[in-house]
Amino acid sequence: MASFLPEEIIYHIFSWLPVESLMRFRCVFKFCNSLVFDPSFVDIHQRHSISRPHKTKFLTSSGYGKNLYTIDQASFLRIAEINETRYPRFGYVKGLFCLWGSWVQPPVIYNPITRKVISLPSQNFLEKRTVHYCSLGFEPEKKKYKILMITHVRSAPSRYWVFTLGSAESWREIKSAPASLSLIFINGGVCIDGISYFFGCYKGKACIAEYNVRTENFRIISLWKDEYYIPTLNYYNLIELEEKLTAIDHSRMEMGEMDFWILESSESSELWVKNTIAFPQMYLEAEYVSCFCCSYTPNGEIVFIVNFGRGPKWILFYDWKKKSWRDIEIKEITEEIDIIGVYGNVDGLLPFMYC
Amino acid sequence: MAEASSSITEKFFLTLKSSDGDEFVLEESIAIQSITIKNMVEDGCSSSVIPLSKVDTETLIKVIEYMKMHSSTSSNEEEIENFDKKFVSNSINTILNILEAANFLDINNLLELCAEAVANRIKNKTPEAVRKIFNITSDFTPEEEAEIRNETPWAFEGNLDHSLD
Repeated sequence: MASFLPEEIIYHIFSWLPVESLMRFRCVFKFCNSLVFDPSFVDIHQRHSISRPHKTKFLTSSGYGKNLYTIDQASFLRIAEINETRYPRFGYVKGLFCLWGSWVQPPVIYNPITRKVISLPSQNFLEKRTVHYCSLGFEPEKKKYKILMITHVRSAPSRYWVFTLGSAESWREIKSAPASLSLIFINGGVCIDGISYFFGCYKGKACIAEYNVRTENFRIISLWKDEYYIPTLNYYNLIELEEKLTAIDHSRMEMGEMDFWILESSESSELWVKNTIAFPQMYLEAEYVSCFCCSYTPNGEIVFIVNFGRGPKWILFYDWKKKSWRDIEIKEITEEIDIIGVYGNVDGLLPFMYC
Repeated sequence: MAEASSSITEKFFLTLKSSDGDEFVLEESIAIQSITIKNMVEDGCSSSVIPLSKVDTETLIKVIEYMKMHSSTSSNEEEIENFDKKFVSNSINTILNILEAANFLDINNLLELCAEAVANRIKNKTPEAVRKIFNITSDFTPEEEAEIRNETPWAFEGNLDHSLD
């Protein structure tokens, strides 16, 4: 080839590259370096990544946020150990983890690809005996990550604080939450298209609280049944299934079945549609230590984790439309730890702008 | 458009001329997958030969092959899929030439097919190999390059591919 390749062509080619390659090719020449910071390139790259669901990687966490692994079908690779401070709790949205729950350190944001950790501003408003919870949300319109922190001192009502990732300001208190709402964080929450969902208790009844990451307003969604016994929520998980909020109920797991409820409409009236998963005998025969739903894939599969104590660990994928199963046995893991989460990671540049 | 109201059996033909001076006669319905050619036809510039000064004969033959396979009337999905797979197994240099032609002729499907194929071929390569393949000279100073490399050491781990194809 006689002439050099036009930048326009390089733009097209690079929009199909994995993030790792893009980062390696930043030093090819200045134009390549500028691409990864160009919002329109980040956008088109994201669209191409999403169109290739089979190339989606999974991130797995075990040992309560201490170790992170990637799963690429059968291969299992440790990517990080975060043990400077123990963060017992964590959440994941769009390529970034938020680790929290330490009394001495503020929450941190962790990018499993760059292995960078950034600290959030210190929570100097945390007094003694304050319980705090964090939730990482993503707002697709302005492409911003926001962390919602809820603080709670014994009898006083909860207080709500927001921090926008990348902004110069610190935690900012918001007063939009209804006073009679208390959020229940036992099983985390889920953020779908700019809306975070949590289980909660409103006026003595179990509910789902909807939090709009952009407007910072709350809305209460009724469950599919009136539930006044709040500990029942321990049996439930919230996941995303094809961009819809879905609640998994594993109270009937002993019978080898789970129910899941898909929220079909969220404007003014709620319509929950019930589905049931029957577990194949081969998964039930083994004496499982724990089997809980925790996740989903961008292909619309529901992900279950089976930890056999010191024995093998399995990740089960259920395609709810075809009612079919596939599984991955995790062999390479040698530590005595349980896998506690699987997070589908669509390759994208957006997290790199922040961490 | 006058063409749209013509009878189905009537076919229009265009002549495309490569930068090497070779002429190719092609059915208009196939050729207008190229938005550039379509615009020329609509502007009434298609009565004579259409000169494609930026596309050499070897590349034009490949582009025409692609357009024939992808024209709506013939070929089923499986055929097209197999064709595409074989099409992008050409050498990187050939695909890059087709890519430039597809960009000039504005054939979006072909552009995306080739761009993704090149991306797959270069994704595990070293920056040095990519510079050679794209015929690019670095405009960074050695210090600037070292700094960028040090920001993402993880991107340089593993077995990288030094080959140029």
